Amino acid sequence: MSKTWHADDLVYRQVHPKHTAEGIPSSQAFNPTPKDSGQLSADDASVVTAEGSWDHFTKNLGCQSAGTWAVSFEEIEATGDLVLLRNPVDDLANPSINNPAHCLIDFNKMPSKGQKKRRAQELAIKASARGCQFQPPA
Amino acid sequence: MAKEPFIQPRFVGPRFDEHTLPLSAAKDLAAYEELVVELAKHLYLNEHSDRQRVPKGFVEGFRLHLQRVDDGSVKPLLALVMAGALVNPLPIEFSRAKDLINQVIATGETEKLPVSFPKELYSYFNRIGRSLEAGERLEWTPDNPDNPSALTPAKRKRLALAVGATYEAEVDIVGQVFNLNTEKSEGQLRTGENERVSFEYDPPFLVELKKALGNSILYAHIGGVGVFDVNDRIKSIKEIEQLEIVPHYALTSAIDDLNGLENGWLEGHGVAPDPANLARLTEELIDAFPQGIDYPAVVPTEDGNVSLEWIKPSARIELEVNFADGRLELYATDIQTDTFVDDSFDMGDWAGAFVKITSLLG
Repeated sequence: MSKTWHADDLVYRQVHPKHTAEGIPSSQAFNPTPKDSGQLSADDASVVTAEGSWDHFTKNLGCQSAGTWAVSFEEIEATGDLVLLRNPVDDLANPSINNPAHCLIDFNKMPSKGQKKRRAQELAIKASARGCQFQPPA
Repeated sequence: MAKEPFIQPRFVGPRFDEHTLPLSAAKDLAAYEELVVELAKHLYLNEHSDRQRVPKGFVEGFRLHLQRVDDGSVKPLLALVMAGALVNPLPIEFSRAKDLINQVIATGETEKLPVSFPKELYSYFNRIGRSLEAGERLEWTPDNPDNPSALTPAKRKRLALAVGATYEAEVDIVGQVFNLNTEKSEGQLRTGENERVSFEYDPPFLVELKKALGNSILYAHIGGVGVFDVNDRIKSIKEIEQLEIVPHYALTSAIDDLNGLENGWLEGHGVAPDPANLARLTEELIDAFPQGIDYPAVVPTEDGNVSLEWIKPSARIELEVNFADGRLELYATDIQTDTFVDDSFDMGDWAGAFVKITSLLG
C-alpha cells in the first residue's frame, strides 16, 4: 500500500447534495470542517471506481452524496501546503465500513481559516473543471 | 324546507385526518352539483326526443346543500334541499345521473368509458377533484366494499383528457412578469426554467402585477388554476387565486430551503441553521442585495452558518455569514490571476461587502 503517487493520479471526493449548485460542487465540499480534524476524506481512483466510491459512501456508510468529483495528486501537491495521505480503513469489528481506497487530504499545515479556504476553493475549481466522475441516476 | 340525503362522498388523505374539509374541496362539490344537473338534463332529453327543453322547474327543484361533515376521514353529506314539502318527487334522471357519474369514475384505465356519458361533460372533471393532492382520493361510493368509484388526481386527469388535449389543475409557480395586456387582462411570465407561460388575471391583481412588470428583482408567485398538456407541462394559467410579489426570489427561496435541514445533516454532523438567523438573513438581503449581479449559490456550513458563493470557471467568491461572530467573511480565489482575498465586514455592513464582491465579479 506504499506505492508512490504520480502527478495524474486521481482521488475521488463525495459531495453532499447541499454542497452543489446547478451540478457544480461548492467550495464547502472541499473545505475541511471540525468533524474532519483538518483532513478531508477521499478515495484513491486506482483502487476504486467513481461509482464504487459513491456506492461505499452512500450504501455502506449511509451518507448522502450528489456524485463523485476528483482532483489529481499534482493539483494537491502544487499548492505546497496540502499533503495527500493513504489511510485505508480496516475495521475488524465493522467490516462493512472497510475501505482500502481511503485517503486523506491534509490541510493541517495551514493555521488560518483563510488559507484553508483558499486551498478548498482551488480544489473546488479544479474538480469542477474536470467534471462529475459519477452521477447517480435521478 | 324539506331535505333528503343525495350522496355522501369521502375525502381520504393526510389533509383530512383531522376531519375538517378545506374550503377548496367545497369547490369540487359545487362543480359536482353542476355536472349532475347538466347530465340529468341530457338524460331527460335523450329519453324524450320529442322535447326541445326540460320541463319547467326541472332544474330549479334540484339544489344540493352541505348538510353536515361526518368523520372518517371526511364525509360531507350532500342533501337535496327543496322549498316546501317534497310534493313532487325528484325526476328519476337525477339519481340516474348520480349513478352514471359514479360509473364513469369507476371505469378502469384499460376499460372503455360509458357511451351514455356525453363527451362534452368530461370537462367538468377539470373542476371536480381539482383540490386533490398527490396521495389523496375522493370516494363517491365509500360504503361499497369494493369502492371502485374513487377519484384520484391521476384518474381526474384521465377523465378531463378524455375529450381534450389539456386538463386543468392547481398550479403554484414563480416567474418574472415581462408582458401585461391590460385591455385583455392577460400577461406573460418567464419562469426559472426560462419557459414562457401566459396568464389571465382579475382586476384586483393588476396593481401588484404592474409592480413586477419588467422588474428584474421582483418575482410573481402565483397560485391558481393552470392548464396542462398530457405530459403535465404547463401551457397557461387561466385563473390567479393568490399572488405574492417576492423580491430576489431565487435567493430567498434558496435560503428558505435551509430550514429543512436537521441537526446531523452532514454525515451525522452538521448543525441545522437557526430559523431566526435565516429569517434575518433573508430580510437583510432583500434590502441589501444589489441589482445587476448574479445570485450566488446558498450553501450551509457544518457549524450552522450560511455561505453565499459565486461560482466561476476559474474563480470562487465566498461570503460566509458567521452568525455567532456577527461577521461577514469574504474569501475569494482566482486561479488565473493567482490572487486571493481574505476580508471581513461587520454583520450590518452588507454595502461594504457587496462593493467588494461587485469589484471581484468584474
